[in-house]
Amino acid sequence: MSPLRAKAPRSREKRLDTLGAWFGPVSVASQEFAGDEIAQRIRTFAQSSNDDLLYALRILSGIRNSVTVIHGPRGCAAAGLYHTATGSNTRWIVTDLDERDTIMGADGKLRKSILALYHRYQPSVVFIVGNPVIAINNDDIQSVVEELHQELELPIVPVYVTGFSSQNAVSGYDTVLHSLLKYLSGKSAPTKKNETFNLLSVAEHPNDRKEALNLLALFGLELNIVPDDSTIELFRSAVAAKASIPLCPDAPEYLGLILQEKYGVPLIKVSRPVGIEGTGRWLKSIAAFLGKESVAEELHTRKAAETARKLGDFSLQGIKVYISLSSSNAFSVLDLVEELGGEVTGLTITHLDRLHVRHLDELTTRNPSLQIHVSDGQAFEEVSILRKLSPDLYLGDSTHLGQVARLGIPVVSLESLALVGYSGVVRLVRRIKTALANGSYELALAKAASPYHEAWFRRSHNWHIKQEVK
Amino acid sequence: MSIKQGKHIAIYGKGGIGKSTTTSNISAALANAGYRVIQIGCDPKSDSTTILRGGNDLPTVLDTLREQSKVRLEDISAVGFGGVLCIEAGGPVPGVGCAGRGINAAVEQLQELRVFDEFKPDFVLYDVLGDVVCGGFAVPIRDGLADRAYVVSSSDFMSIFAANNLFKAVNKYAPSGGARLGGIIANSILAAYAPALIDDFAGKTGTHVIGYVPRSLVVAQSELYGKTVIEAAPQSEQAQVYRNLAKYIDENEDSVIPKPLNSPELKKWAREWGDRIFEVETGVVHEMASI
Repeated sequence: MSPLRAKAPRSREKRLDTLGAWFGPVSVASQEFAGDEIAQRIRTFAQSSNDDLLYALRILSGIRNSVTVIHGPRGCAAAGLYHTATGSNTRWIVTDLDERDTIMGADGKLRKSILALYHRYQPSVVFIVGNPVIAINNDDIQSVVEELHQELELPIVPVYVTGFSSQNAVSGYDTVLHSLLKYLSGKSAPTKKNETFNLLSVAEHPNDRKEALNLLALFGLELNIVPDDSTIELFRSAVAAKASIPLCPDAPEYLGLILQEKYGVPLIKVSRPVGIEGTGRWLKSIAAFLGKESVAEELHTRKAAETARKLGDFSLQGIKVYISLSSSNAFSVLDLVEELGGEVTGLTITHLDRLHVRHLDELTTRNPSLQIHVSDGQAFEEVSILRKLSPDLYLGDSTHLGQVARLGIPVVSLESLALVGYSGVVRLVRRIKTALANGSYELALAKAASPYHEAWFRRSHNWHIKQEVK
Repeated sequence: MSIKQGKHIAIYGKGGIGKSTTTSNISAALANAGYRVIQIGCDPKSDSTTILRGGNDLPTVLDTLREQSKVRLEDISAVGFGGVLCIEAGGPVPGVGCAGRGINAAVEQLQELRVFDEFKPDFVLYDVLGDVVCGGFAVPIRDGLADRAYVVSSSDFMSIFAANNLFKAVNKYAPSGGARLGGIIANSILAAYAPALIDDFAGKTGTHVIGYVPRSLVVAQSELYGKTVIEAAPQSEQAQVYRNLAKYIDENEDSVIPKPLNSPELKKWAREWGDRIFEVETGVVHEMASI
């Protein structure tokens, strides 16, 4: 059966055994993922969480000349605000469903919203994003899509995120990519290939994309970046590309997989181009596909030496580092920290699944007792872990930086720092130097009272993480 | 896009109208004709396939989902008469949750298990409660799951109203890839006026009747033994009626988008037939009528 026949893809839990809650040594994780069945974990208390709708909006907000209809009650506009917060300037609207709509069906309001957006902004595509209300009500989006698609001669793409079908927000990426492929990419592989290569980029920093383009210029490839900062025309042409090169092996994985399985576009398996060796590995994997190994080898040798020169005698020798990032990012930054001579004492990642098995196995060989904490938004657990580990440096996105700084730990925000490529190493080192040179801000913050009771710190870090028993 | 495995048929009808009996007998007849058949009961009562399975218990998809994190096909299916694979979607505990959502979740689970790819059926019959065609119960005729829907109706007005409601749902979803209507199965035909009444309704709604199933003691007797008529009394006339229905469904690809009656039209139509039946039953003789 075609993978695109269903309204939405299988959730990450079902497809890749994704865990959103876990705590323990990497060797145990590796052992568990070596088996056929992974026991799901549940969190009996959560401080905050993302959902698939938010992750879906991350992708949609990057598609140019699009408008997004958030089809739900007015509270769902909060998701739209997030859309804006990501820096997107694409338009969005919320259909503001009321009680009557939830009983009688809301197709009328949806139709009206799409028509209003169409006449006001003349977009090249309209996205409809679902939510729990629509999913529970089985609201009829499809009829409106078919009807207006013909009437307006405009692609209208429904994205069936529910907010509850998956415990892992990352499933939202898959759901959007599924819809984009289903509604824009045609039913079969095109007979004629074009000369381009897809650069698969999902929710990446613009400077990271720029750096990747600079690196790939080496091979003289014609590149088509999808779906970030893309258009529907560019997305449509992805099915005719010669191959797909992911910028990250995780977020765009579903896109690469379907392009390969259904449309015959080979997916080049790569890890993330972060760190000196990491960037080299990325380039060499692509070069192997193109048969241009020597070109990549030459560039890597030259760039690695140049980067080493720029870093001078900088070393993280003797520095204990804690990393808290989205999963693939975290694993690649871990390699980079070790490359710089640092010791990684712990890791918080957003999710853990079969895509990360290679990292788990490698880490088990190097550092089997390294503790991995899987959480997307649980600062209270992270703070408890950090207080015990007491690292010298914390590298993370901006989510919990404030709380971590209050422990007196120097922090570096990687939220808006482009890490890709050789230049990413230099940028990171510059930030780290600043953070380590002056820890007085964090030390001052540490004097304030802790927001947590001591009783919480006496509990095990995985107090609220339980194995699902059925 | 790959071709869907087998013909997917949804059979709707008012509760208690004989939907499950009719569906099970059609399944049995199709199986007897050598086809691989799956019957999926989409009713929280979960008794659709009972007479295909000799009355034995079968855990429903939703009960199993509630108790186990991983569901396997063998946990939720049983092979009944003639090799028919029997599945009951089930529903939440009565009084809680949403039965429509339950149907939705159960169907998703079946897709997850790749039941159709594994079993490779020639026919999949969804037996769906048709009193309420809310979003959940419309699942089999939405999203291209079933190709055709049939409705089981007696000459009872409430059953006709339920059929008309289904026509509204088909009318809504068919243009966007939902199922079209294959026809009406007239069931429990006893009164002399019954075929004419159902025919008239079919004519008014742009549909047609694909078969008339007389009310029969053989059906009741077979059910008491947990069997379909096809199994218990294969030589009976009633069995032949079901075989004819199965043959029609097998051979006929005709389908329409019905034109449901609106509420005043339906009331007017029912009143006129009510008057006519009353006159027949009470023996009213009109002026100028020939005796």
